Amino acid sequence: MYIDANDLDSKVMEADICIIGAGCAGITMAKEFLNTGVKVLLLESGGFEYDDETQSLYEGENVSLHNFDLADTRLRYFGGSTNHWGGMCRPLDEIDLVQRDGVHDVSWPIQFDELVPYYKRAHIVCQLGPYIYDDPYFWEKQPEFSPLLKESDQLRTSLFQFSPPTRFGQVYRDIFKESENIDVILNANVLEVETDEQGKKITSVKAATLRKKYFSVKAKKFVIAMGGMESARLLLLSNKVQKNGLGNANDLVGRYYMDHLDAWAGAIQLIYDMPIKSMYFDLRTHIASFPAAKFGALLTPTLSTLNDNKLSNFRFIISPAKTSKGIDSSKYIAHEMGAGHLPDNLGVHLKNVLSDIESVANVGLKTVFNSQNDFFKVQPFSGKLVSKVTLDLNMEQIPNRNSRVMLSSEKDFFDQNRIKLDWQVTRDDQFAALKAVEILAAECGKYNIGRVFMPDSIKDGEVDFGISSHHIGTTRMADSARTGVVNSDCKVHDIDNLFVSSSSVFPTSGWANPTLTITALALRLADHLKKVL
Amino acid sequence: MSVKILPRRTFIKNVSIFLSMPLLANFIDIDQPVLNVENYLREVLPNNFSAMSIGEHIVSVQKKSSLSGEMNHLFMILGVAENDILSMRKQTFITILREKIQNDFSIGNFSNIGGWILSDTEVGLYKVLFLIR
Repeated sequence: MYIDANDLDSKVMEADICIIGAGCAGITMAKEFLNTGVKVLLLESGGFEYDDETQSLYEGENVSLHNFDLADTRLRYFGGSTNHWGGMCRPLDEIDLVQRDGVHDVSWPIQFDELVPYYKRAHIVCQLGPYIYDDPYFWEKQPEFSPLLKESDQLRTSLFQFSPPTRFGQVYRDIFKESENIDVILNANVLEVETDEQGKKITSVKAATLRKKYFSVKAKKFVIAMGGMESARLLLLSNKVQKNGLGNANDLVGRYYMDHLDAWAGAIQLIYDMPIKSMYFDLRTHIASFPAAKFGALLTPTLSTLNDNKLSNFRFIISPAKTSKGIDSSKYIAHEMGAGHLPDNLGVHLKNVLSDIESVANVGLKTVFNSQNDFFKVQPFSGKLVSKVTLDLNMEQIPNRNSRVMLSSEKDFFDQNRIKLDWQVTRDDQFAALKAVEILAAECGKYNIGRVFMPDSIKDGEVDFGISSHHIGTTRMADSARTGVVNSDCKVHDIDNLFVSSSSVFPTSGWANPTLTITALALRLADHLKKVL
Repeated sequence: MSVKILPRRTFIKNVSIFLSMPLLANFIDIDQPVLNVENYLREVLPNNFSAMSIGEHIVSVQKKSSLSGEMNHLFMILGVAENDILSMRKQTFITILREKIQNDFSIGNFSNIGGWILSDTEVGLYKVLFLIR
């Protein structure tokens, strides 16, 4: 059932499980308890639609190297950030879960094999095809697609799948409508998690609406499912008994904030043209053998590359470069004429110019009129072949204690401290980017694929990394309270009944987009709670 | 780096070898000549626009150097004697060149020239091609 918190009669609500946040983690967990007899309250800050006032609660202070608006990277209404999710899905690599000498000293307290059954279940939740990623026979079954660098022992082609994307707030809205054991409370902003006097057990959460209606929820188990930034913020804000915030005895809450580091990494000038219909370019390729799935392909390092070079994980997304035969031929003719030569194959080049006159005219007119806008509409990839591709490098960020979410002195509508984000990357991250491009360049040369152009920013170690809006690591998982905020069951260390379900529990990020892993971990936590309730 | 000064006779001979390839090839091989600029690029870098783009970048950043010095350097790194080239079929030469370039990338003999990551052999070759042109 859906309830607007503004219409609540009671000031205290009770449940077996209280889940805070109705994004992919919260909805996935609540869904697992449908028709189980377990009473679940799912609290959501927003309603069913985007609302400026609610969204503004996400605003905060950003003192990071990259000053993005904290309210832009998340959505605060039913379905959470899946409402603007792109849909890329891929499990983490096995190596992402283990401690790696020379890269980072942290490992997940769970084995990859233990996650696989949950990844398979998460595939259904995220409306994906069969769980196929690293099947060695995949390419043999798809002779129409030819992976790059097939012979390379340094780089490989990895698959990912595309969710439709699943808008959790829309796809799963109806299943809670008639539910007798699950109530979704909308417009319920959780302000604080309250504990007993020892700070060892959660007694209730305090919540309010924007119309200043206050209420609290008592439950046996509480799950914070508020995303990579807000989950840490709520723990830090809940500081009445534990003065540094809940689960923060070792000053770990909010630290190790990570995002996938994004950078333009240059281009490959191909020796042999690639078909425009390649899986590398068409990121939602349907394959006859798996009609329910949409696949994409990218280049990633092999295990030995990561270990031998002590590198963080990464991927190259390759896309057709905007090329124009007309402009290339114009440049060539101008270059040769300028040098006093009659251009070779002049007829061919003139034909290229004439057949692509719109592109050539755009360049000329934009120069003459000092304009940014095209004068003629041009289809950039009208041909069937691609001779040059651009490289987008998306990397695992090396965990860094100084990269963190803190509380700002700025206050929100409820007089709660806003977030202060200090996202930091290190020289090691810069070096990893350089090494990744060098490896690609060497392999492209070795296997006669093409030549790589590397931008100065990569070469000089001065990449202004872009964000991927994947907020990771602020309540990291570890066996010990000394090194992590939650344990392998995602329970906050030293607190009996408080759990976190979010990308904030990932100790490392790999290169895979986080939603599939968030969903898998939510399913795993739901199974755990079914056992312990 | 010091540039070896070639005797005038050797220099003229080297240049003659390169420039006369189109003619010599007609007698040696029914194939196209070995070191004709355009044909080389078409064979080793079959995408002509790719070759042009890369060449343009190198030319814009390379310091000028002597043709004879660069040619001798190229022969040296290829491990091919001048006289052998005269009797070599084009495909054989291209195979040697390609293997050398690919080996360069395998063992880390490459450098960043104006942003392009090129094998040391390629860099030598492009210098020669540019200087001939």
